[in-house]
Amino acid sequence: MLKRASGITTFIVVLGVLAFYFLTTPVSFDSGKLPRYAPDPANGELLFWVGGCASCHASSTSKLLLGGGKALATVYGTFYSPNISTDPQFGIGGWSMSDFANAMLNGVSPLGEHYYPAFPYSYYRNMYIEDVMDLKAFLDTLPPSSNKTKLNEPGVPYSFKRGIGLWKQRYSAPSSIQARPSELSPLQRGQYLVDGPGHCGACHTPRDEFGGAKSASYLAGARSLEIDPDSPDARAEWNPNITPHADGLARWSERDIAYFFEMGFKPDFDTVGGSMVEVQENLAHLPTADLQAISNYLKSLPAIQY
Amino acid sequence: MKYICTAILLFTFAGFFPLASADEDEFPFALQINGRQASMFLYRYNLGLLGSMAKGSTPYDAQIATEAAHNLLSVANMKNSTMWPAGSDIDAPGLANRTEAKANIWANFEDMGNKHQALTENLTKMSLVAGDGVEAIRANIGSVAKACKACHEQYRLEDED
Repeated sequence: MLKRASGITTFIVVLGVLAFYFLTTPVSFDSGKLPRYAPDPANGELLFWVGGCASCHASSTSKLLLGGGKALATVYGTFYSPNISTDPQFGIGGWSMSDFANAMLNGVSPLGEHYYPAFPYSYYRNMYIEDVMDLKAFLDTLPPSSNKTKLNEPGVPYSFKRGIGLWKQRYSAPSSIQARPSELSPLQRGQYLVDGPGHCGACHTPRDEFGGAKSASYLAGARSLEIDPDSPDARAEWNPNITPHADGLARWSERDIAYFFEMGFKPDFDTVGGSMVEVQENLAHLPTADLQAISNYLKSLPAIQY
Repeated sequence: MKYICTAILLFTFAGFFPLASADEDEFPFALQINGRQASMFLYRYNLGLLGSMAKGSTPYDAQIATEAAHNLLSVANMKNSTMWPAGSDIDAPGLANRTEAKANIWANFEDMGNKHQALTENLTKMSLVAGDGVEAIRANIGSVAKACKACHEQYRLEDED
């Protein structure tokens, strides 16, 4: 009887280990899946500003020198943004197009390891493959930086990297390659920019206990997870509700929203502040039609409150 | 009639009660915090006059634009150092919902002064050209916004309204 019980226990443990192994195995595309396409660095530059890559990866001297190293101190540990400049040793200069697509869409490194979701691939996975390729083509035009960045300092239990596979199963299922449609309505374009490269939800959507987005409260506002290392007890920023709820953008017209991105003025002519300043200044590089598309989409969302 | 009078009385006094019972001044550094917020309001009001012309939501009016630009410069030229006493930040006791000023201001007072100086210079330029037409406002309002943002980015905590 005892022998049988221990046999069952062993069976369950083995099954559990196998299930964990398969569920947490990083999933990558193979390079043959990429379309034959000549990337357009000009469109890549637009996506660079939408994605705000510079906010985390730029050096203090130039938004286009992507040496990384910025500390992101959060309740999950401290993460250092990697060097994504063209330096082949310290940056990503040696990456192939499929290495880059796997990082952006699957959150998997060229060595086949999971990235921490501090890198917002759970949004980038909504990007069209041609846009991802265009972005790499733009990054390839930027200068190298030999900045060697620090290793991440995740808190327990997040230091067990393989576990990120479970997180991905729950919050960021492996991406399938999506081709860019030839035409999008302004609303579709706005949705794409917000839900994909713009990753607005990374700050404006509340997270659950595992740091995954609470999708029922999408864009309904959230307290920042960032901690000020100089004063860890200081109150963190509130990232406001950007749905058309009374607590959010109810009184903002689409024109108000587009003008806010363009200039940084709210409808009452207070200015943007905090970490949104960089986001706004990045978005100010976009053509007016895209800013209008974003406004159009935000105003079309269900008005919800968190 | 009696009910109408009662209703009017209630209605009238309802308007006063919140004022009478308001604790607008019953928090630490209330005088200074109200003072600096008043100056921020004056910036916002006058920027609204100029900005709504730049935005195209109100027609250009040279006189209003000139006045607004001069007012902005006047506010910037006020010497308000007494309105920023140490310990009047958002993390200080009793001030969580009273101010958005971050504690790092007092460790970087000189930098804040430099940023204010940049704002004053941009507003000086604006005051010289605001009467020249809406394009002149459009050409200069971006640098004014940038000067405001420079402080708000580092020294103001974005919090729930």
